[in-house]
Amino acid sequence: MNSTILSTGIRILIPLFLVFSLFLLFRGHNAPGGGFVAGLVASTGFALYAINYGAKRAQERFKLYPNKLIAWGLLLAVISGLIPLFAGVTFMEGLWLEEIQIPILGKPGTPILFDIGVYLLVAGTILEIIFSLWEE
Amino acid sequence: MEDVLPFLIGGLYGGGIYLILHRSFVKLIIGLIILGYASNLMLFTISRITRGAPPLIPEGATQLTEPFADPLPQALVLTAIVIGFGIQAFAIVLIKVGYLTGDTDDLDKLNTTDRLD
Amino acid sequence: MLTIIIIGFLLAFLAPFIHRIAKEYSGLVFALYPAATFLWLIKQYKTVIEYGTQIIPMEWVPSLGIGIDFRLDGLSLLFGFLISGIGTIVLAYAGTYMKGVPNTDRFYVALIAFMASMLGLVFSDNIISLFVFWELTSFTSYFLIGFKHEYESTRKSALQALLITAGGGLALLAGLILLGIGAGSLSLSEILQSGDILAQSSLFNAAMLLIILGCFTKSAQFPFHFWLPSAMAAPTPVSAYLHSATMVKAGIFLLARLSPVFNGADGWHATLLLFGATTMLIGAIIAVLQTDLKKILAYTTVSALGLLTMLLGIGTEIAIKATVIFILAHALYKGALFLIAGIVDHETGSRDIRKLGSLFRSMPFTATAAVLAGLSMAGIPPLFGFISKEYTYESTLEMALNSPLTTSAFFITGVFFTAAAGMLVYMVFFGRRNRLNSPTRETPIVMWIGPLIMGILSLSLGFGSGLISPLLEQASLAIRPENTTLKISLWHGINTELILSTFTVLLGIATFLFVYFNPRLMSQIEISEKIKPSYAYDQIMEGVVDMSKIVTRKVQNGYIRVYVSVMVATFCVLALIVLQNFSIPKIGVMWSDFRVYDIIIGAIMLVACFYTVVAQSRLLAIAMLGVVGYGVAFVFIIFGAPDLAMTQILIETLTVVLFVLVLWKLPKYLIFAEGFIKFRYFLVSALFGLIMTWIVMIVTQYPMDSHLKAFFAENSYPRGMGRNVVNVILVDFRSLDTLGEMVVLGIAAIGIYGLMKFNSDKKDFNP
Repeated sequence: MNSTILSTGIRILIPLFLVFSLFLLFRGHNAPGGGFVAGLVASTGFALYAINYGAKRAQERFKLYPNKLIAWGLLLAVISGLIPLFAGVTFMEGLWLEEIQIPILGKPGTPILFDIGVYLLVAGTILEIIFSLWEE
Repeated sequence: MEDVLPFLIGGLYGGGIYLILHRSFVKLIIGLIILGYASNLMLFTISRITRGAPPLIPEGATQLTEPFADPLPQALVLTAIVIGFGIQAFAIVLIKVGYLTGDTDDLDKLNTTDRLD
Repeated sequence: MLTIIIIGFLLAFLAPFIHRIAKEYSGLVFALYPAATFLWLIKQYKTVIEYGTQIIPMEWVPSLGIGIDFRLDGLSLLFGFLISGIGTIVLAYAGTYMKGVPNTDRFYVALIAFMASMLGLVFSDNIISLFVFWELTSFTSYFLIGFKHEYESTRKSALQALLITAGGGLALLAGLILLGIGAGSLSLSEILQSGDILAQSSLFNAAMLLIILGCFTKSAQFPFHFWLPSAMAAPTPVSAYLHSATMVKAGIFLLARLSPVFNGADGWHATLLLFGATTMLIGAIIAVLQTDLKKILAYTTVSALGLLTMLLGIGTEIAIKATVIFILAHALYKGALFLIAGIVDHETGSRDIRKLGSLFRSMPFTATAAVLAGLSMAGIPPLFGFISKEYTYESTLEMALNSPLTTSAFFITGVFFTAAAGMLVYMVFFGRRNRLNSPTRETPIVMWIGPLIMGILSLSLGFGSGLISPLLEQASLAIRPENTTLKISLWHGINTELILSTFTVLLGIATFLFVYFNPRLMSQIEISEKIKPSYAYDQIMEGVVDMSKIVTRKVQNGYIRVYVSVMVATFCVLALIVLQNFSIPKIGVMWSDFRVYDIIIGAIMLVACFYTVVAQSRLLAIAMLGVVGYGVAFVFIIFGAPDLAMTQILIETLTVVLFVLVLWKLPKYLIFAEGFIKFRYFLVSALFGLIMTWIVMIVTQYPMDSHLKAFFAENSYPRGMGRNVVNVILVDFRSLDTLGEMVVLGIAAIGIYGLMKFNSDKKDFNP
């Protein structure tokens, strides 16, 4: 599958998809969005690239290793659950730094970290599927 | 829509089962996907639906005021959709591998794969 | 106490690493653990003597009344000393015995884990934690028996031992739970004191029988005794430790532990007495017919366990005293003899008593140990075994009922014990010349020192049992609280017991001489396979396998449509049974809220679904499927679920992409069902669809009371810091669920990765 329109379009689309996915990720706590959706959006860009240029090239070009993304996603989610343990509350209880307000990103807290974990995992899973199927 | 949804769900369930009963791999997968839609819709419907009121707390307020859609089934269905996709993808890959090794699209010819060659 | 057990499991975990560093000295290194435990127990022992039973409480699942409480009293200390003492000897011995054997690290892992579990078992004060440790000993025993797993017979023996002991464990669990319900507590201390409440409970007899069953399987009582001789496939240190001194005594331990509860119940005495005596006789008789050192030891162990069960069944003051004395005496001499058998096997390569002989010259120390242990086993004064035998005679003679019968049963057993001891010691270390050519020499000190210590203990305890009589007294008190002081002395004066004992020894020597001079005779006596309980076991196992094959062939026939039809039909029948209680719902209740586009969307989706189903080309089917999917997303939008709609649209797109990636390489629909079959499919699926519609209608007609809805509406912003309630639920309130779902997704991805990776190098993909 090699279409000129797709291959030129993709160059512009990938950063767009990525930025949009991050936007969805961080606004997700207060408006529609969140890790699941954002992860899907992020992976869609790379999936299009993979369909056009082949999985191997996509992997090499963007240094994407879905296995690692999945692992990092799970790790982040677990870490976000463990942090509250050190603060003396139960596993997975949300903790927030109330005073700090980062523009666009909102307040930092463990649920945000957890959502980032979801984001990485979902993106990794989708890419894993696409890359596996498109490998030969 | 409350009156339409039950029929829609029933129709999807029926169609999904009908496809699964066939001997073709591909039909099996499509049937599974349709069953997935039906189940998600059913979960969504039986925990009551509210028209046009997403569970988003408006700026300035600290809690939701009625009417608003129940957020819990939405959270459940959201993960169900993604997981359902994971399972579908797995099934699709299975078709492919099954086709590679068995060289057939016929489910009935694959009922002896647990025997070692 | 918990620390000791945890250290044990940690050590088991670290064993491979330690073994890599310590190499052949690892046995000695590991022996430090039981040795330290032994010393710690001595300290505790003083406390128990002074202040009585000690309970160390420890919570585990407080809501269910399950704790890891520990109980230090005479009985648990007696077993604790045996476990740690013999454990030290066995581990030190194993270091040399296992030298050069591959996978020794695994052996240590299982052995040390067993040690820790066994300690946990005897010190538990809660019947649930006791059971957990009980099962752990069964499992570690399985690994130890199956250590030489390259032989099929070994695997079979290990599996047999596991099935029998774990099957019994199941009965035991049921029994313990019933006991706990009857007594109203899972704590052993409270159960032991519950007295009449428990005795009058309707569960009492059931609990008793189930517990007896569990103990019988573990302690190899007839008709479950056959697993123990098969378990001799294990390396000898394991046989010495698990299958004579500790694990097989776990059943005896539990029977003794619960004796205060069951003592006095009718079934208790009769059952234990009958089965104990039967096992004792059968074991002793079969033992003298064997020619393999370990088999002789195994059958005499079975017999000894029978004797212990019988003594507990007699349950009088003197019988309980005899029990505790015999536990100690037996552990000392049998452990030593097993280890000696291991040395002989290790040095000469044979365990056949017909071939071995006059090893005394080359192995003086081992022989000395063997003589001491053998004399104790034969019950010859002044060894400890003699005292034990005196006590046993005293208890059988004092019985109110069946005294002559029991006494003669024990008499016969005693005779065979003496004969077996002669076979084990005289025929191997003295007697005819060694018929094996292999040169034999004395083994390293670490191997013979252990048996020698046990032998010397057997001797010295015979003379000066003053040191341990408080321990035995405490143990007998734990089994039978009304017992009085225990004074052990070698000389009771000339009485019936002594006369009986003398005759036992004389007749035993005569039997031995008969066997010795007619070595061919024993191998000629063949017990018919069909009357052995192991035959029944084999038949049952075969039957189970055959049965499951038949069931599998019927149930798992490999046709997906059959599975689906069965499931759907079952569901429909069950649903119809429930649904007949509800009236047919009215359509059009919500007309006020009616929108035209609802109908249009619904109709489009149904039509698309119809075309997906009937499409003859895959492309059309997938396109129509996409329509259905986007329709679902539209429904989500209408009913206030933007997150869902977004996810659905993205997933839908990806699904179509996936299908395109895979499907265009797959063949077209090739197989089409015949008209009649199609109609049958149609009926099944239409019925299913109708029932689902019906269910949804009924459910939505009843008002729903959702506390959760209100909870999330109120708390989402103040406590979850988020305005998108769905997201707050996902990442905060129910984040553990989400984490679980993430794991599922990850597993699916890894599965796909594996499927593709490992298949792609096999065959080329040629559509």
